[in-house]
Amino acid sequence: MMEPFFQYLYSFLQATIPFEWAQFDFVWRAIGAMLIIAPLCAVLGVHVVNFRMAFFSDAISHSTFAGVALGVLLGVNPSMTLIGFGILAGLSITLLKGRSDLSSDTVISVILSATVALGITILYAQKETRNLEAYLYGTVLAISDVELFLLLIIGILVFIIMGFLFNRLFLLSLNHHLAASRGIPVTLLEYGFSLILAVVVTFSIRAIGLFLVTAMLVVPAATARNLAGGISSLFWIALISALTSGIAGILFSFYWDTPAGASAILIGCILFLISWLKVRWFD
Amino acid sequence: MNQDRSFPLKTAVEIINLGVCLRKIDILMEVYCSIPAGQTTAIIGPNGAGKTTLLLAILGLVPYTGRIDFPFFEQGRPSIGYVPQHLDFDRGLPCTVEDLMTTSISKKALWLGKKQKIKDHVRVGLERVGAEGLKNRFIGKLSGGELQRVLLAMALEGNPSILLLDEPTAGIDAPGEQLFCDLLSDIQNQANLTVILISHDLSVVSNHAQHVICLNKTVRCSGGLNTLTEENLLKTFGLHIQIYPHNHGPHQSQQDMKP
Repeated sequence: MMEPFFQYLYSFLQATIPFEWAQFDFVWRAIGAMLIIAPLCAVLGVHVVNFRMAFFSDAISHSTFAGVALGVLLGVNPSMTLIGFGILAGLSITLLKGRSDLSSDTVISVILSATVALGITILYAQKETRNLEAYLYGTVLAISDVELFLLLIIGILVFIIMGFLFNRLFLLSLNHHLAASRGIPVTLLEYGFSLILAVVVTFSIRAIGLFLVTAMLVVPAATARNLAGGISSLFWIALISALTSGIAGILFSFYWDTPAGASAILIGCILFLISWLKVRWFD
Repeated sequence: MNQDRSFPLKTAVEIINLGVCLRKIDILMEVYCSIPAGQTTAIIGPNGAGKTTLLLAILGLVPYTGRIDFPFFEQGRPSIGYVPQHLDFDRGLPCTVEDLMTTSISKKALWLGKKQKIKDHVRVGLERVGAEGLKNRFIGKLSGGELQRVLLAMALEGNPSILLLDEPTAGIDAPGEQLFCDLLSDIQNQANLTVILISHDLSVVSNHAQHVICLNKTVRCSGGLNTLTEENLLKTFGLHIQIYPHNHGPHQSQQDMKP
């Protein structure tokens, strides 16, 4: 049903933009995916940095390795088991953090170690390492129309939810009790954010790769912190930074045959360096 | 337990046989106390005495046994403002005072912009605590006293009947402490607020509170300022705290009591 629509869109874009890269459908699919993933990473990344959840995000992305292995073992599409495992890991960490006296770093580390070890054990036993690169490094240029459509639906839903929750999450990141005293359902919000983050991380792995998906959340938000004059501009600068690095990464990949996700993160890090130098020298 | 039952004022909060047990540890046990309406009540006690937990129980944020009633308020549970001890953020967070206050007033995401109505609301709130000049400052660049005034403005949003403050003067220098306590006193008189504050600083307590609850797992003593006797402080803190007699008025900031 959506294929004719996408074909019409690609034809229109190819006729409008005269560059070489613009003449390929897969490039437009990749750009489409990045146009969805970058704003999602920006809106979540702002909170990931505020909540100091970079390690949590890393644990979710790395735990999907076990999901991929489980998919191989069971003979089902690893993309599906990957998403399930990522969400399970995110919610498990949130549950254990709330019910344990251990520090959150320790809890996250235990889950991370367990899932990665499980993934390696299964894959080693199965002697199966084919196609792993797609999950490790991401293959945004190989994304399909169906995946793009699914990403679009997830993106719209998450953006609407985050539009409602942004201020409450921000207040929660500043003080748990203050947020609760203002009538914010703190526990529900913590689980909700963990779930949304797990969904976005797992859906972004296809494009960015599980090694680097956390960087897509953290690096643009860190760049924005150096430049922003308020929370509104923090979000918009993070979004522009994520979009710029994401699309530039795709074009780099097209012309120089580099991994698009890694190229995007490298460009994002260069933007961060520029923002840091700006703060050091001019502020 | 030395319980002053002859307090003539109406009771804002009546705590009856309150117990709080978290992760199998008894934080509070058999707490009975009355908090008078329209006055400042200070909760004092050593670290781990359960002071913050008592505030959280009044806010309804921790599970407890026993009862917490609000007899002064006919419509049941009154609105309660809360000033936390600190905020948890990196100093590099680009959050202005206006952003911070907007998060607790408006549900519209900050990145979608602020309505003029919200901006006016924030301005009025800040004017109330004499902090209108701080509107565009980053919260990480504020002094301890300035941040407490901003948090007070947030807590006063919605005109609460009861105001809870968790160590409001911790980490504030003497002039800042004086300014904050005077401001609190003015607002309390204007709005007939019931103020409950936790403080480690006995000079703040003796200068600004009219009622004291000495807490260490349970209420060791409560009543007017004359409750702060050497014997009661020994019962509460478990060590000798000598009180030097003084003639300070209610708003003097000099240390009145020394360990």
